[in-house]
Amino acid sequence: MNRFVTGWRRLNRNIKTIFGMPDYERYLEHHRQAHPDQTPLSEREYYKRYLKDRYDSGQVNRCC
Amino acid sequence: MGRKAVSIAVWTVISVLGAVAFATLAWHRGETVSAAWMVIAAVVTYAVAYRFYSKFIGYRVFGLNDGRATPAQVNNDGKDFVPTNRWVLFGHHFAAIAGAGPLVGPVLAAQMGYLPGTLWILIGVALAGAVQDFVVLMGSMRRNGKSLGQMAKDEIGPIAGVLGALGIFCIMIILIAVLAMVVVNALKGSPWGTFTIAMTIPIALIMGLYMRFVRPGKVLEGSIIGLVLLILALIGGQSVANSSLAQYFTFGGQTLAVLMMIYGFVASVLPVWLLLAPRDYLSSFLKIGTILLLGLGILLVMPDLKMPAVSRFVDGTGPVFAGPLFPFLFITIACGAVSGFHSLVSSGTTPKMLEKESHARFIGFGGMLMESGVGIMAMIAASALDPGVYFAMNSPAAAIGTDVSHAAQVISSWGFALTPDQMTNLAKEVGEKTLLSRTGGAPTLAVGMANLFSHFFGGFMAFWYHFAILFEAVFILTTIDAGTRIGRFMLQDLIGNVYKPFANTRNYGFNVIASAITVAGWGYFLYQGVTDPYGGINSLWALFGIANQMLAGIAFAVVTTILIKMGKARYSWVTIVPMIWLLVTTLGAGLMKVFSGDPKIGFYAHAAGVQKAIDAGKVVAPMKDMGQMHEVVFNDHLDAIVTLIFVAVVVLVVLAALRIWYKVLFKKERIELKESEFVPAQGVSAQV
Repeated sequence: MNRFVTGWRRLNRNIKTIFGMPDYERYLEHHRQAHPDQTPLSEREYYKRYLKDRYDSGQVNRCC
Repeated sequence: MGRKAVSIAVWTVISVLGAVAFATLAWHRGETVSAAWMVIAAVVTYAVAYRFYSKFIGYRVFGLNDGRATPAQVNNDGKDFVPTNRWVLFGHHFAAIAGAGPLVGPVLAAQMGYLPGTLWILIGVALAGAVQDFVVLMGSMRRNGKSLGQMAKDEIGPIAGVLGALGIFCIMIILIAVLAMVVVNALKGSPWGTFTIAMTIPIALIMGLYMRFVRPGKVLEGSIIGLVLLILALIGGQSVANSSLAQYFTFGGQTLAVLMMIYGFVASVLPVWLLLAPRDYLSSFLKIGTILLLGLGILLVMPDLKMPAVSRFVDGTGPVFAGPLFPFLFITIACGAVSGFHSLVSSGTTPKMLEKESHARFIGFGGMLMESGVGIMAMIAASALDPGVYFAMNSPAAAIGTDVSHAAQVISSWGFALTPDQMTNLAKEVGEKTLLSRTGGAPTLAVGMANLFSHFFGGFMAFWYHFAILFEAVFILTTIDAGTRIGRFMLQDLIGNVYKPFANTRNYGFNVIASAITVAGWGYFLYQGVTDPYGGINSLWALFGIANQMLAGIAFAVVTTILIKMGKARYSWVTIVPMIWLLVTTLGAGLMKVFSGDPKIGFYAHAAGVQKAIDAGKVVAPMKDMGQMHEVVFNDHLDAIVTLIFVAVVVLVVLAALRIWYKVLFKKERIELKESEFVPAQGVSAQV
């Protein structure tokens, strides 16, 4: 059962990385490690920031 | 036997197998040849190129070193810079480079037979395409993930940077126009297709609202809901097409072009969460899913190739695109062999996620080999059709008329057997009124895919045809809105060089103006293509191919400069040879498009011919009135100017690069290599 849950989580995470989707859990993990003294963004705030970074930067992130 | 001997033996066997496959493809004389030979030839080419050439480039030329920290290790910020498992990163990179390009080019190129296009795809990818993606990725990785434009600026000079940005903006405009053209040609007079595509807008809105308000940030849930609704829309499309509602979803090319422009503009000024992001997810899943399905279909069915190896149209008289094999084949197939656009992706998110330097080989070189495989699949799907059907679908109305029996007669006279019934029945089978002159590659590929899948799933031809159309249209529309948005940023940046406040992307007014200019830019070319009696693909695809290959030429010039500054001039042929080849083919094709005396190829010659008729007060077919005659002349001149801009940009960038090479190699000047400093790698473990 436990193995199934980790496998499922890993699959979720990999799909998100492949398609450049937001990954709130990963953000929380990183935040806990890197800035343990600060409160992390809420999932909604995180999503907003992600959208801005990905689509409003003028960076080409796809091909034809 | 030692390991080395085993390795030599294995690679010898593989190479011999590849040689047999190529020989069979080239010299087979019979009715048909199995696609298996093409698959074998491709896989062997990829294996040999990867095993030997990419290793040479990675280690001998660039000195990949796992002891050197990658940008992801140095800056690991949990956001952009994240060390990523190489298989996952391979998927990420491939999902970013894969698109409609490699599916369209080979379909068009099939008019010359399957062999020329296949050889170019395979040789081109091994010596140019995969090399470009790989070396740009390595260059960017050693520069903290800088973009190609920044690298051009740092290593060559500020002028090269601005010219590069201008070039990229022009390419973006032409790219969007030609892709929109593909969608227009696929949806013209097709209520089923149009209904399904129209439904993707409300579906995206529902997903957007769900991911923003109902379950904030839960993008996978949103995507699953979207995909289910999409399949329902696809099934519902058939009922709509057979009902009285059909008239509301049946449009001509011009109306579709205008709708496309309105959509592009609205999508680029709406908040991204509402339309762009959900559409992006939908199209990414659909894209990868369909490519895998197509690959599986080809492997399981292994169709016979009915197209001749080399057709009579290598002489340049073909109806699909004008111009002889050299140089036009090499600009028609861009993506799949070498695509300049990839240099932007390879210097985008991927270099910031590499876990180890050595992974760049698998991801950069390997990722492009996979893309090339997609091109080969498109070639197989097109060549497996009856050649008569292929030409009926891909020749403009000006060449074959709009009537099935006339078209069948013309195409049979070219030597490709076709009966009127064949076309009528095929159209009925896929649930369309007509399949004549469905230029642009997408419908041809859709028929090819529908053939494969219906063979495999036992029927449902119409469903699979519209599924294929849906998948291409969805990701093209995503390219249109994302591209318009990126074009807007580029334009604001460019104009900002002259008028500073315009670069402020927080100013809503300037955003709207820049979006409007961008949409007007591609919209003009799209509209021109739709009204052009010669069929827009004919001229637009050539412009796009030239632009895309020129960008690759620029990328090679940048990396060659890097190599020379690194003191690796003796290996610089790795990038100089493909650069010269790209310059020869694109400058050749570009200058022929502008100055050729043949009115079928040269823009000016064509304009002169039409102008002569105007002066004589005559309207010549296929134009219908004087107004259209004047439009054609104007558009010819405009196309010529755009082509000359591309030529000028690439020539200037290469000259600027040559100046640096000369200084370093002959004047022995020391010009600083703008690489990030060496940081030793830590034992960072991958995040999987």
